[in-house]
Amino acid sequence: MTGTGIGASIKRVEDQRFLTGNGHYTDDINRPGQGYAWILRSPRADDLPNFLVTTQSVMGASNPLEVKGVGEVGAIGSPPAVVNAILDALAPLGVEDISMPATPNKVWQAIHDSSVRQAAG
Amino acid sequence: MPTVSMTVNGKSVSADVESRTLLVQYLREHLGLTGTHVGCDTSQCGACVVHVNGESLKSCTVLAAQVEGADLTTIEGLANGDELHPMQEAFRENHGLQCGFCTPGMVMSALDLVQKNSDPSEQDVREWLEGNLCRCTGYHNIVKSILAGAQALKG
Amino acid sequence: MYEFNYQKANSAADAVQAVNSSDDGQFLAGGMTLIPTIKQRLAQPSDLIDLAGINDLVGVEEGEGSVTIKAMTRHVDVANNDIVKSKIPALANLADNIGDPQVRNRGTIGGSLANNDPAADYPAAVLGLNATIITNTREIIAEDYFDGMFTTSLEEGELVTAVRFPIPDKAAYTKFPNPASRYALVGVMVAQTNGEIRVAVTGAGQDGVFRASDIESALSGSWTVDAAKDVKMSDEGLNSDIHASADYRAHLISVMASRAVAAAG
Repeated sequence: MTGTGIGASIKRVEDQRFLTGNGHYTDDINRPGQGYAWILRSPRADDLPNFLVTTQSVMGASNPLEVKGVGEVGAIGSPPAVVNAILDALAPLGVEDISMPATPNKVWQAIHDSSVRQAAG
Repeated sequence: MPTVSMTVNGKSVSADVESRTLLVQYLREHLGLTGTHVGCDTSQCGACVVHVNGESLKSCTVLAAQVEGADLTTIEGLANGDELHPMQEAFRENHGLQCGFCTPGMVMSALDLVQKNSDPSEQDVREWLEGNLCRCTGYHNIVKSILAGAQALKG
Repeated sequence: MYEFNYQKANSAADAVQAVNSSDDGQFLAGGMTLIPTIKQRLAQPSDLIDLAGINDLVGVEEGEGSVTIKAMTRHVDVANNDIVKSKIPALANLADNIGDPQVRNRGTIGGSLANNDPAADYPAAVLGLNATIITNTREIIAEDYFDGMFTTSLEEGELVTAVRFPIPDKAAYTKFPNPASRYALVGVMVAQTNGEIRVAVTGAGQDGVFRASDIESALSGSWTVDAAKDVKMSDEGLNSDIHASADYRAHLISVMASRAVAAAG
């Protein structure tokens, strides 16, 4: 494919050095007598003012559900999709909620608890 | 201090090092070959993979003294001048890297796979990369790169 | 990492001699656990005696009804060995799924067994297949060898030289890997050898590998997937951590055992 456009791949100039071991990262810098920052200072309580967090909701205008996504693009759609898929699979057992992360243990626990509940009748 | 000698990328090298010197320290600090990276330092991430006598290993979990006399290849030993090795070219062509930190280990690991299995399936590649972690790509283009690199090397 | 003396041994006898004459020496096999342990300063040996150059400690031999794997044979070489693949395919398959390719290129059966990590794969093979550990001084049956997590009945300066596995009639190993570390959350070896049925479990027990006698009894009555699956394992003595609760591990033991029975045929 030639030309550029959304989705077209472009050979990156920097890849030549990354691929040949000539990329430089902070760990590669080693000056004589160089020191290392072992302790990073974090802000303390007295560095910050008192603050109050509130939310202001504005409906999205771009779709019928008026919903909006926030956060890193790749992480907006996939977690709800995965959780919905799990809940769909577990719906026949009466499972209505599962919290993330949906670990194998947690999914098993939900199945286990629902079958215990059903047996208890 | 014991003297440790080996052949790295076709050149004989030798250095007086402490017994506790890891192979990756020997390469990076004594030979200045910083293309081999230390990611996790706990033999999980694979950024430090190099070839010793033709086989891939994690150089953060091997002492330099353990490979005394061996023949090594690191990421710096693959390209021929400005001409990339076919596996490196495949990574470039298929956008198999972003920040590039895991890339040397990925390429070295991929080459060990291809010499054992010249025509790997996608599943073979994914299973082989068990010990190479990438935080940028989601692996999709890395797998694609290795499959393309394998075909290029078959000629 | 603390400094140590490093030396290569030319023979098993040399290695034992070197460890015995050092202050606090240790054998170095593949180093896949020992080197990370030293790096984290969890161990401070005075000497490391590298076994890598000792040819007598490498290789696989077929005997009368058994396969003997020498201690310094790497996982990759067990996985690809023709004798192991034809006589005990379950063992070749187990070795082929340890860690990752780079770990399999270095790690050895003897090193793994001397370390006895409670989530390692080989202990399940040794106990499930009723293998015998051969050292420089004696032979130790599997039941007597494992002695709690990271602990074995090896004496100071005693070196594992080989492991002898009886050839089973049927066997298979199945594990449920930890999604992050890929160590076995639960790994189960099931085996039928000369009429005896053994089921060994790794990854789950607080004291390391153990035999699941309830599943053994069930399978002795009926060698079927359902027989293994229907056993309700007790969660007593099982690990409980952020990766899996003890009752989930108990559940997984029956499931992994049933899958192993299916794979063994």
